Amino acid sequence: MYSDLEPILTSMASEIEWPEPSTGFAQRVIARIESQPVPHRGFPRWTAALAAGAALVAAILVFSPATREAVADLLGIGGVQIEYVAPRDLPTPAPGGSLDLGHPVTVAEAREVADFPVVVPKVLGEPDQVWFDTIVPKGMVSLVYLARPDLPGAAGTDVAVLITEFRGDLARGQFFKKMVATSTVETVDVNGAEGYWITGSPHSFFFEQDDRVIEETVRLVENVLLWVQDGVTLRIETAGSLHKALRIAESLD
Amino acid sequence: MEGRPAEDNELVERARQGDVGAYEELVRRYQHLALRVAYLITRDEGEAEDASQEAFVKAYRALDRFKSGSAFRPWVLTIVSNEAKNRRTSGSRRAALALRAVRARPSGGAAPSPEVAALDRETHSGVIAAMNALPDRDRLVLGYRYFLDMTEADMAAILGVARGTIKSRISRAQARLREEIDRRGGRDV
Repeated sequence: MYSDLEPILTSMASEIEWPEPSTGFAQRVIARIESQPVPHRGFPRWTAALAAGAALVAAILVFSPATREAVADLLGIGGVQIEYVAPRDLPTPAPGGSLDLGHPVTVAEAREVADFPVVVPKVLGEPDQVWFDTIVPKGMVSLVYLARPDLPGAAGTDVAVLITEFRGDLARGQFFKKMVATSTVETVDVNGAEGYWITGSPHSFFFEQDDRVIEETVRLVENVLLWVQDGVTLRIETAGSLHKALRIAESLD
Repeated sequence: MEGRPAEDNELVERARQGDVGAYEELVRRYQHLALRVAYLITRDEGEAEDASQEAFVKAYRALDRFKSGSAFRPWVLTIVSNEAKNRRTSGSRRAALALRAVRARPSGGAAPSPEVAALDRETHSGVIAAMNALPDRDRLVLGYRYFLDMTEADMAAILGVARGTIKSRISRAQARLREEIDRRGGRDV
C-alpha cells in the first residue's frame, strides 16, 4: 500500500549527510582499552559478590567517586548490579510524559499473555492503564496509576505509581541499574524478601539477556522499590514514601 | 594477512585472547556503521562519536559474554544503540538528518535531465523533513532499514524486539511517514 515510498527511501540512502568518524577513531578506542585493562576478565561477577550483600551497598555510598567507579563493576547484589555513572550518561524521560510501555491491555489479557502470575495491588484498586511489552523475553507487564488526591503525580507526568513486573531469570539474564552517585540505596525487607529502595537521582535499568544488553526506556524518574518475589522481578516507582511503597507491595495479589 | 580478510568471528576469537590489533580491525570495520546508528538515535554528531567510542570500549570488555559463533555486528550495534540512547540529551539542540549539499555541476547544466534531478531533490527533502518529525521509534526503523540497509535480524537485535515483528514495524513506520508527508502537503510524493 505504501510501497511507493520504498524506492524513494532506498534511493535517498546515498544522499544522507552522515557524520564521519573522527581521525584516529579506532586508535583512540584501542588507547582507552589499553589504558584501562579489564580488571576481571572471566570473573563470575554475579555470584562472587552475592554474599557481601547489603554491607557493600551501604559502604559504597561513602567511597570517593574514583573508588566507586572502580568497584561498581564488581558489585553484584542479589542479581542487581549497580553502576555509578555521570548524570549526563543517563537517559532523560521522554518528552510529553510518554512512558513507552508497550501495548495497552487489560489485567485479564495481561494475565493471559504473561508467562508469570500478574499481581495487582489491592490498596490502589484497578490500574488506570495496563501495558504489555515484549522488550523482555516472556514479557513485561506495567500497571499505571494516574495522579489523584491521595496519590501525587511524579515529576513531569500525570502518573503517580508505576508498577512493572517481569520474569526475573537471574541465573541467565541479569538485571542492572545505572544511577548517579548522589542516589542512595537502602536494603529493605519486602514481603520477606530482600529488596532495594533507591532514591535521590535519576537512574535507569538495563537487562542482559542472551548476550544482549537491553536498555529499558526510562520511566518515571522517581523513587523505586525493587525486589524479586516468586521468581518475578517487581518494581514500584512512585513519588511517595518508602512506607507507601511497602504498603502497595504488601497488597499485591 | 594475505588473501581474504579475516572473518569477524576469527577477529573476535583473537581479541578474546588478548590480540588488541584484531579488535582494532573490528572497530575499523564497523566504526562508520556504528556512528550512523548512534547519529540516528542522538542526532548529535558529538554525542554520536562519544557513544560509539564508548560502545566499542564496553564491547571489548564484554567480549567474554559474546556467544561464540553468533554474529558480532548486531551484538556490537546493540551496545552502540544502548550507549547512544543513554546519551540522548533533552532535545534542545537536536540536529536533523539532512541531505548532502548538491554537488556543483559544470555551468551549462551538463548533468542529465536537471529538471528530474531537481524534482527528486525536492521530493527527497520533503521526505527527510517528514522523517525528522517522526517519533524515534518510527524514524529508527526506517533509518535502519532504508538508509543503513540493515537485515531484519540486525534490526531485531538492535531494537530489542522479536524478529517476526520487524516487517509490521516497517510498514507501520511507513504509514506514519506517509501521513506526515501528507500532513505537510506533499501529496505528490
